[in-house]
Amino acid sequence: MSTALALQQSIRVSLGAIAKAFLTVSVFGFSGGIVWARRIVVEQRAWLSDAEFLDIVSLCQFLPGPNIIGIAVCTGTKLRGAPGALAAIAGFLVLPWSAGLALGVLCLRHAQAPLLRHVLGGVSAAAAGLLIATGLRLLLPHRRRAIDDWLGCIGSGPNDLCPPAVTDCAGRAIAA
Amino acid sequence: MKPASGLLALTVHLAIVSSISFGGFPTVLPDVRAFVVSTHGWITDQDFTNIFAMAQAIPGPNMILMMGLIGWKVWGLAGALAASTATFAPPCAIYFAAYRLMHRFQEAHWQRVLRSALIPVTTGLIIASGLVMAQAAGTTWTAIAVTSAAAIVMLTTRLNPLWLLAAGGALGGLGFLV
Repeated sequence: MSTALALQQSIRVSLGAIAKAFLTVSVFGFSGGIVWARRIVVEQRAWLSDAEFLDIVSLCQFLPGPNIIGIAVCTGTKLRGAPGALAAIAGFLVLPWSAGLALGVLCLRHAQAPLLRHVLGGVSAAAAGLLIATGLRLLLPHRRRAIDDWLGCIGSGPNDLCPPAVTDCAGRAIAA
Repeated sequence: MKPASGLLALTVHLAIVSSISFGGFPTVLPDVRAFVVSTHGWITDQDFTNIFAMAQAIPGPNMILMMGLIGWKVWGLAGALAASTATFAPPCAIYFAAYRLMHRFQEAHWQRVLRSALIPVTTGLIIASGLVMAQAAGTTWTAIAVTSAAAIVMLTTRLNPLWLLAAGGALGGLGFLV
């Protein structure tokens, strides 16, 4: 009992840590939030595996709204339930929104300066490469799956709708 | 400053469109523009474009900030708070409920099949959004080189992506990508 409790406490992520992580995602995320979400949540904190992260991204992409805040809500919920979700939203929004609003109100008139446009163009070009790389990173662990799934389904016989074989393929694929 | 009944109308409208903004909030931007510029005339078309560019350039939650800036322009701080909340709160509630639901049926066979089928779609959408962004950033060979180099470095090293963004910004600022 006590060891189980100790284990539970040792893996319990603090609400502050969740808020801080999504504050970082939010601030750097103008170049493609998913790049930073994966880097921080999967690579650095190891709160989610690549497979769990991909499931959450899939879910968020098929729901309305800004996908990155969806990743924040789902990750927060997974770690700490509803309070975790609120911490993730607060971290993601409060500081960046306040600072951004102040900045936006102050310099709305200078948004069209040519130098600023050129710098932003260069940042966008690099950000595009980061997005492509993140997509590939998430796809790479599954590069052999498509072939395995095909062989599995073909090998299962002439029945096109083979549900047991399909679920078997998916099951092996998840396990792989 | 415009009457507060207008702010209520904007808040309700944003709450509705954010709840149906499949594919992200930018998909409903044309509708928001029609609502605030054409239908109600709260801001000019030029204001709308400037606020869009500004929100894109500021680090943070762009679309939520953009709606906040529109609210600010017409109603001040109350407008900024109401418009931003209407933009993020309904989708957050939907994400929370959907994740709970997904979690409950996590071990169901249908969900395993669905999840594995969605992998190529999801990763494909991410790569495609990268390609669209690359296209918008410019199709000169130098811009393409920056995009490719960033992708390769990101894939092969664990370098902090900020360096790549800074390098891209520096090259752009020096006029190499035009």
